[in-house]
Amino acid sequence: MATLAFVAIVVLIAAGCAHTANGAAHTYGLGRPANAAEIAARDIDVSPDGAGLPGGRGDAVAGARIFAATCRRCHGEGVRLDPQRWPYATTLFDYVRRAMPPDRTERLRPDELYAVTAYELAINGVIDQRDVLDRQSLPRVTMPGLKSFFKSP
Amino acid sequence: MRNHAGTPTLDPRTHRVIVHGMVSSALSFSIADLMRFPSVERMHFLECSGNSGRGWRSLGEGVQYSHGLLSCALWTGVPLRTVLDEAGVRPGAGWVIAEGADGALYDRSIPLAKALDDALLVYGQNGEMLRPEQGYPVRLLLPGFEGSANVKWLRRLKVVGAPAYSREETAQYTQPGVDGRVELFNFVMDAKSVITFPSPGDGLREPGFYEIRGFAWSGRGRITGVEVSTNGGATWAAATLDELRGTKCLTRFTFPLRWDGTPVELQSRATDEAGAVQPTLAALVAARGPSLRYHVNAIARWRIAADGTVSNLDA
Repeated sequence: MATLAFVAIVVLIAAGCAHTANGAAHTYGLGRPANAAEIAARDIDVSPDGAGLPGGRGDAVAGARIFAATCRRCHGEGVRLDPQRWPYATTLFDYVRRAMPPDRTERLRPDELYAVTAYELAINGVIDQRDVLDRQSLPRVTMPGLKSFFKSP
Repeated sequence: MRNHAGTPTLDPRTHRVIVHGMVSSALSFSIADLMRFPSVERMHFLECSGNSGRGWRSLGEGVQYSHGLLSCALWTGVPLRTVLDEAGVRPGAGWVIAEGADGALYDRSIPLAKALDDALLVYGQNGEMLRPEQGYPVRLLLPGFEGSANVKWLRRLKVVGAPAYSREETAQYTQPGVDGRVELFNFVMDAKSVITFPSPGDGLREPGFYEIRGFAWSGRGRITGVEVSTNGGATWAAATLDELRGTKCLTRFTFPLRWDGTPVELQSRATDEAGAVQPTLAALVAARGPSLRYHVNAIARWRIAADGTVSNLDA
């Protein structure tokens, strides 16, 4: 009897752990399922491995035209970045997409985002003027400062 | 309190926070949903990681310039853990990307351990709803973490395996150390204190009795002691701590001063329950290098001149 009770308790504890770690608890039943469309509308972050990058492509030549039309009113001929301070080129794409231009008078399309990113990386000496960026090539751009960054365990 | 892209106007009747990524069920919450969860109220400080950094000091000499990017408030909200449990965090998750609905869609990566520890989704501050510039209708509150990680106007929480490496956690809010290497995800604001009276711009009028007053705080827990030196750090004596000594919360201290009208160098030094002692500026420079933009918790040095005016010896 004592053994059976012990086994029952162990099973309950195991079930409880699995519930917390693997399954939605739905303890309070609040909120509703997030649908695919509302997730897709907000899920804009781009990882260093390229996850989250859209299709499309662009180079610095196209980027120069877009920069002049959309960015020059605040940034002049280009933003002088310190490439040593940006560990990943994908971060630049991500930031331009989420934050620029700040007044949202225009929204840059994926081709334009790749082109502006290429323009910025080119004028700051990271890539060549003729390099084309897309979802495959952008994550392969190695920023010169990457090795100086570290993350504590 | 600072913003990265203005203060958005969000309608609390339509604004939603979505939780997705490595969860069993992606969920979407209205503000009313979030306010129905079991709630907590806690007092915590918020400090900009640039508080006391060298960039701000050039603006003026008062303590408001050297230490003013700091506040402490009563926050009302739901533990983030409660909300994440509702969605069910899947094995392998290690981070949560928190994203705001401001003009920059500002995002930061938060360690899952912090999210499941004492992080809150807050909608109330000091007994009223959050004000727009404080993140209305809902923001993240990460007790003891640098202010900029406490994402305001929250619209999305994405549970992930690795950080986002967003601009604001790589190119910004980081600094090279002594060896030139840059540590990422250095969040905790360490033990610190400051004497607010007397302080630069708020001096003494005549010899006699005064009460030295100030605050101490630490992102690693409670303040266990504050010492004051009236002789430039040669000797130290314990200050009196007020009763309110919350964890990751401003703690007020006082210390009696009988001023004889001769020059005095005042300092205060905090110790927290993790055992950390507030360092001197020289020790901080030796440990971290000269580019002290962020996480500057050095002992402040005030000099009272014979005429009672106070100056910052490190300004």
